[in-house]
Amino acid sequence: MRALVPWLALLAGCPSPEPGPDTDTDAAIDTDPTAPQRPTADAGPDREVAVGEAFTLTATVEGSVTWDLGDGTLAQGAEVTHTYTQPGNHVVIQQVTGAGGLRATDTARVVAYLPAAATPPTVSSPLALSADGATLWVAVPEADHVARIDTASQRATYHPACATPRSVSVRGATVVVACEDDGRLAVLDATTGRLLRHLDTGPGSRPAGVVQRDGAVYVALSGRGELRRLSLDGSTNTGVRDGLRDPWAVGLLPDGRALTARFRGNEGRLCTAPADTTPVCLDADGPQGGHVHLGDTDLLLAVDQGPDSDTANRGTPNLLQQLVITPDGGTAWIAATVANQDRGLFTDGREPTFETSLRAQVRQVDLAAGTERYDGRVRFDNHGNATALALSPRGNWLWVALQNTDTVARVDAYTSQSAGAILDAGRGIDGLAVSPDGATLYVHAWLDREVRAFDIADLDAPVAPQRWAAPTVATEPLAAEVLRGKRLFYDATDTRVARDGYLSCSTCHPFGSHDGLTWDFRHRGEGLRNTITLRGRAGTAMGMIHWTGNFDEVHDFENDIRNGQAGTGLLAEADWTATSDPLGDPKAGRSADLDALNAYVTSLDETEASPFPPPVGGADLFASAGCGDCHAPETLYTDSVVAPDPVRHDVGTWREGRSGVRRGEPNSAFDTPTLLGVWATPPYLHDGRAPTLRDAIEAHDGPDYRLPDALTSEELDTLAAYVRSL
Amino acid sequence: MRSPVWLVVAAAACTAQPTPSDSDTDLPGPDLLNPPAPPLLGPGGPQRTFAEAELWQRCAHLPGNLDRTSPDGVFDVDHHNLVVPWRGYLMVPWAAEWGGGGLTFWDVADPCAPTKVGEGRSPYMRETHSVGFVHLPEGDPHAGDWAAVDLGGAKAGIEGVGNGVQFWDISDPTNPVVAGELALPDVIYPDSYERINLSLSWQYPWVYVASATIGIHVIDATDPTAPVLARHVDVPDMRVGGVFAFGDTLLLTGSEQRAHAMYDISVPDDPQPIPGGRFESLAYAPPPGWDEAAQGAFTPQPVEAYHANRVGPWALFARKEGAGGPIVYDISDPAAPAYVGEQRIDGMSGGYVFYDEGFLFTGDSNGAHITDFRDPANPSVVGTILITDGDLDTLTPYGNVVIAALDDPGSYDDIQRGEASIVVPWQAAPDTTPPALLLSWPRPDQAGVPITARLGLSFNEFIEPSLAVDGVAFRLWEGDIGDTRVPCWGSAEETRLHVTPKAPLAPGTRYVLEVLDGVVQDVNGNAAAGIPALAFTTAE
Repeated sequence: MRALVPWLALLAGCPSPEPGPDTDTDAAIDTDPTAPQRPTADAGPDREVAVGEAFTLTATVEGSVTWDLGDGTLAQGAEVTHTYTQPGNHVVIQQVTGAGGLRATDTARVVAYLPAAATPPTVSSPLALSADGATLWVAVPEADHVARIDTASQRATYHPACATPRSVSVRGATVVVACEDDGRLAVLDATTGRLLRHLDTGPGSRPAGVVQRDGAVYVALSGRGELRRLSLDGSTNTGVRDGLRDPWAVGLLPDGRALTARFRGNEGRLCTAPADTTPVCLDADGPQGGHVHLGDTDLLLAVDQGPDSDTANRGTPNLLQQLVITPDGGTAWIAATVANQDRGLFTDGREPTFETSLRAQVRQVDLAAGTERYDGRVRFDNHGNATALALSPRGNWLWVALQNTDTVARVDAYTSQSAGAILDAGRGIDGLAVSPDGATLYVHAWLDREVRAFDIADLDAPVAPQRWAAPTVATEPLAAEVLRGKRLFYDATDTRVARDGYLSCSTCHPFGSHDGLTWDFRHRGEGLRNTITLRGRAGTAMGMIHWTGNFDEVHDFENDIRNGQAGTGLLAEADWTATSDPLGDPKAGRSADLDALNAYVTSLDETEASPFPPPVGGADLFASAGCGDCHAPETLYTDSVVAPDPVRHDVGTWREGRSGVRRGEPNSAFDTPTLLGVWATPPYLHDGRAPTLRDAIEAHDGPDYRLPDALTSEELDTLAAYVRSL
Repeated sequence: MRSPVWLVVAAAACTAQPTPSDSDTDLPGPDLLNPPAPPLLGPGGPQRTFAEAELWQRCAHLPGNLDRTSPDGVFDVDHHNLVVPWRGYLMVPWAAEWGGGGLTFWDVADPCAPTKVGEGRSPYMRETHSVGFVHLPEGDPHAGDWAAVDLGGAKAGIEGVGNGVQFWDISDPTNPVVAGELALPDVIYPDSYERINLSLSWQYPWVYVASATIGIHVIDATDPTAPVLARHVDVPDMRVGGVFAFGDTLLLTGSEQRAHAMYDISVPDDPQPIPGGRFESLAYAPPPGWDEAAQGAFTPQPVEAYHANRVGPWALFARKEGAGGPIVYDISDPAAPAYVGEQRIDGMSGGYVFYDEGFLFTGDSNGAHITDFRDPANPSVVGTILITDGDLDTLTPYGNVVIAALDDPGSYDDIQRGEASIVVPWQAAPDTTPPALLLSWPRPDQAGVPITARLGLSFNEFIEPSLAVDGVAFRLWEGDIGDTRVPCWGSAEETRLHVTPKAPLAPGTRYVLEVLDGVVQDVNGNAAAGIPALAFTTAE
């Protein structure tokens, strides 16, 4: 019998006590000099080659060599020359076979990239990195400043800019900051951070995304629905596109075209009512999908067809918060939340669940063709929203911030496949940037008040190590309880608040506002319900909560947390049992976390100022038409107050089927919504069926209020214009 | 922390372990080369004949512990996956998504009146998608019955318990107990997809663990009570969900991904990618309404699979992108995976997939389906189970019944109905067909086999894994049958029987793997016979 010698170390289970490295050879097998020796393999270093550029791989090892070039090409021999015809993140395999059939393998990453355009594209972001990678600029909305961070020393300085900065652009010597609540841009000196000037964009214009090129600033004015071009010195201010709705992110292509994406909303919704009911659609023929504006043309990001399951959902791309453009200018990636408006007991007969309501997605647009690559979309299971994007310098890796799960995912930009993730990357991530050498990922953990630097040089490392973090504020601008509540508001990782990472408060109330959508809440004892902004309402300062006033304190969102988000709840079970009726015993004071959530929502006391001036005679018409009977100016344009039996009105907006019930009981009366800031929250009415304010006004035809018959069409326009100005 | 203790124990075990390398006199004795077959303890698979009206009707359920007051706090929250046979019983692993679960053994001779035989629980067990088995006979230093499960992660906050794999002593099905655990680096709770273990494959003694984007871990589980991490292997840019060892190859499948890969494990603790072995799961079936005249021929699209399986020459995928249903690839040439066929099922989203005697069984979230795949060119759905709530991800064939399992109970209100695994008869008569060999590794008369090769036999249905024992189910001979016995270990999982020579083979030498008649059997005890001896020659 053949002697059984040293192989035992390998096969009998006595490996070295330390886990072995990812090496190409196995030391344990080479202990018997008389036995066949395992060969070695060496695929050479990782490299980058342009598509169409020939390159050569050489084996310096002994044995029979087989190459897999990653694009379906196999080759034999010590030296191979190859040219990639398509971009790809290839893992080239070199396999060497030696005596005894023993094999060894080595791999090398070879990126086949599309050459960059001469003029690099640029995109808006709350986190901007200077071209040399030396300086990070961060918009910190609550602090009304931008933070400047030296990436070498991690030293941070803070520079006042304007109210609620949402994005920042750095180019050469100039930093431009767009401030949502200020109606102007701030121009700073990139070297010193000194404020040079403000550029006025108009009251209520609500600047969101901003970029620079050739001495000009391009800014998306979400309030005015415009994309404008301003000179840096303020001498010119011209329109690029108008008539847009809620433009937010903006980018400039190498060819000069501007790309913007609409943040919220969807005019129409699918009508897939069960066969035994009559389909009632808000706008069956209305445009479906996420709205993107490319140059002078528009395109719709397609409705995802699902199907609904525990790993996917149908829905409309919404909350298009950020976009990036590949260095060659050929592709745009757009961050989205895909919202399933088509699911509900009224809508399609199926109860919505925590995992069939929405998911994070990233959509892909072919910029040359001006069309979406629908099959190239990236769907993120167990994540609710995508809020920030960044590309590697070659455009081959896409980094995606999945905000409410504190995650940054890495996606192969050529195959749309997830390739890894950084977990626990930070709370409230709203900005990402990659260093020019591709070795560092910067993450703006907005709600941690930090920028964190992760080492991504080794993509094969199981965990990307965090190298450093730098603070974005010197002093926390929010009260401790408010910040605690805000973090909960944006969190879907806490199983008390959400199940499996999908629904957080912020996924329907981004920035405390609204998502522009109408959801089917029949299963919650209600009906179709248009999402209400929380801004300006200061919790219950404007009365009851929800369209039917079925909550009388912010703490009642515990019910939505448990029943909608499938969280286990912030209240102790005994407290929950005692207070589960939202109009019963109060929940306040029973949970520090729930109190904190209330503190944050109550802190939202500023209404979005209107960009539209009041029309002549509008206030008089408003009064004479009796609008003030319910929408009284002196009571913040609402008569809603927190009360055991709150006042509600039937103004003729209730509709069979879709309006549903209140607290599971028959209902035709609704809480009076404030009109302050209503210009910013289309669509209108409880079921979102009124796309415009005039439509909403004209719907007033009920027992509790009816528009005067004598109002002319012009007067209705005036009335709508007046309400829009509030 | 317990991990360092385990390492010490493992090292000590290795040092003290009697090894055949010490001298020829230490070679395994007769008891190890020809051990007695482990007796089946249970009655085997379903033996009941069903009336036509009973088919496709739920007739029983298989709950784990439903007592919420159990001292260990572990109870079944309706979160199940596959079921597997062991020594004549049906084993049901169960665990909550967030951890805490167990193994329950059932007597399912009458599957509509199942009897619980025994149950073991662990607060650290998490949903497992695979189970590997080994029976080590008396005389082996680690004699006993062992099962490995891919403990995904433990409940947060439990000091000293990591997230890795778990080994159970199942020698006594009335009282299975956790015998060993190994925490794996970078696997964390409560992640569900990125840094979690999603499956394992135990080709004794090596366990391969699919650890999502971390890659794969290789564990030396020679002593299941003291497993040792041998190596971590990065799998570039892939979220590894499925890992399936067979012979010298490892099939790695992406979790919710389109890309998959074949790895070479001829050096067992050093998996290496195989040139040509990386492939995408393509769907060739067009969507409903595709008008070829107007739209042209449908271009095959890469689609994501949720999970997969490996049976015979095939990689089976449970499609989750755009539709559900199985997609099948031929991976018998690991350097050239090739599409075989598919069954597109619209409105669905896989899921897990299994195979039994020509039929594919897919859990598709909103339902589960049985597809007749005997003619891959013309597959057809022959059975459907639909649900209105929860996530029906798994449909495991077991004789003439299927076990449909939810891995998500739906609403919390219904979280403990005890009905996560239900029994559904799908064929009238009990299974009387013995397992048939679909593929061997190496292939018959193959030359140039690496001297470090492992051998494998893959059948067309689940086999009783406890019988996968050297000298019981198979014998490996150097030369021809009757010449020189080569000591091996046997192990099994689902349809695959693994044979691991205890030492490398000799170069340039002929070997024969003999499969003994009447031993390899399915869950109903139908035993295979007449399987040709497998001859091969090692490389020079």
